[in-house]
Amino acid sequence: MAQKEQGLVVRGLLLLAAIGGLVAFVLTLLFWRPYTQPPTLAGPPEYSIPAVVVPSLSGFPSAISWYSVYQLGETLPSAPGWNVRYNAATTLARRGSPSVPWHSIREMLDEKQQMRNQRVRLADGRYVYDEATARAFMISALRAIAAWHEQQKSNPKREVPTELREIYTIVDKLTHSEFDELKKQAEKAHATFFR
Amino acid sequence: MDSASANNAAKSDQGLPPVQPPSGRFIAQLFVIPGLIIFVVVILFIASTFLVRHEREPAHFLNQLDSDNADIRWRGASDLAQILKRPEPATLRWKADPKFALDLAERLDLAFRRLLEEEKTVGGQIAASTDKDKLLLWRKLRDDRDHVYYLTGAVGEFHAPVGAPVLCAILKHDGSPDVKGNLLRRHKAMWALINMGENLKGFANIPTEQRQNLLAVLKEEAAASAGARAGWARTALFYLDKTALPSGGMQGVVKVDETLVATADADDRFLRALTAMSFNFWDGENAEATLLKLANDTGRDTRIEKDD
Repeated sequence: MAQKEQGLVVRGLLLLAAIGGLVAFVLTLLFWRPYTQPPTLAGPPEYSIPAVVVPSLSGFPSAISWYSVYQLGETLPSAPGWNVRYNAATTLARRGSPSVPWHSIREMLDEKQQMRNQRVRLADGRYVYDEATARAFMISALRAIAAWHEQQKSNPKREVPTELREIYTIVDKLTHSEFDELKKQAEKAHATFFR
Repeated sequence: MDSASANNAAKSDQGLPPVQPPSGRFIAQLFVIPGLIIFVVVILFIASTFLVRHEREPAHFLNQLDSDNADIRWRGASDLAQILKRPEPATLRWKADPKFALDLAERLDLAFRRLLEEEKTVGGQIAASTDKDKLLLWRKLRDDRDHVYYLTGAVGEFHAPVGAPVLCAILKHDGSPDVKGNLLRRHKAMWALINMGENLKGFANIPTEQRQNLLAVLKEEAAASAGARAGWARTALFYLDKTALPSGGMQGVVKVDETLVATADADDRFLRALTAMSFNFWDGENAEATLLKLANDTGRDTRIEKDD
């Protein structure tokens, strides 16, 4: 009789352990988030300009690597004053202005450029991209594009500037973005296009 | 067995106790005393509601903001901020009260002018001092600066833009010995103008009765005298309903876009960026040209050293 009761206790404990394991597994599945390392930079690319562009002073100025100059241009942040220019461009677009500087809006939609503009130095000295702020600028540009088109709807003589056609292509790509908010705003802007 | 059945039979013969009419004391215990308790509770509730309501009157906040005691001032400021920053329609009682807005604008104007005087005095002391820590003297103005910052933000939360002329005066002031403090004050004034512009757009959505009441009070204030307060009321009417401007038309009206055109030339880059944003809310004949200029900004900037 005692042996039978002992077996019952052991089975109960085993069942409890199994349920505990199952609960732990489910909770882990629910709450586990993989840690994603923010994209880091070894250092601001402008620090390496002299070394890359003029590797040796022996043959200056013929030693300048013009291809490197071009490549560096693709890694640098926008020229100072970009936040002023961006705000002015989006405000002009929201007003439905005929003189919107579309090149600034196009720059705002360039994800890589926005990342470069939002470099942040952490306390440990590493440089990372503030991705959320970078995408906030892109969303702001998309909203401004949509607002400009809404304003132009009542204009019978409306024309689509050439630069805007290039922006249409960029927005088309952004409608497939993996970031929900960006995708949603791109789709909203896309729905207002004149084509 | 026989004795038990005999006992039961005896009990059933006794029946229910005799019914007696309730006495006066019993009725008092049953109704009057609970009634008194409820009466006292209701009186206490009404009294506390009245006291709380009284504490939330604009006059109460103004008294607290005028206090010499910094703690009382900040408690009042904190309580008022809890109301002004809330979006619920119930807060319209304060946010659509033009007299309250004018009273706060008066206090901001006074506090700003007083601070400028103090800055001159402290600036003179710093210039004459040879102490290596002389820049710490600016700390004396911290409370007054904070008071101006608070009022700057507060006037931007009303539907009547009566505080716009004072904010424009703060934005145009570009010659303080306290360079850093002045720049931060201008940033805050620009943010307040942006909020004010947003609230100005919200004016169309407030109930008709409150809208008409707001305009009537502003008309009354605008026609009252030729003082600064009348000019601020006229400025608000200019932006809310130009047809409501009293005789004398544009006298005393401050146009916000003219100030924005001036701040578009500021040396501070962040202030220029905010200026570009402000044109979303404040239109004017030079808005387009100014924005086109800002669209080609080259990024010149002032360098603010950490001095205190």
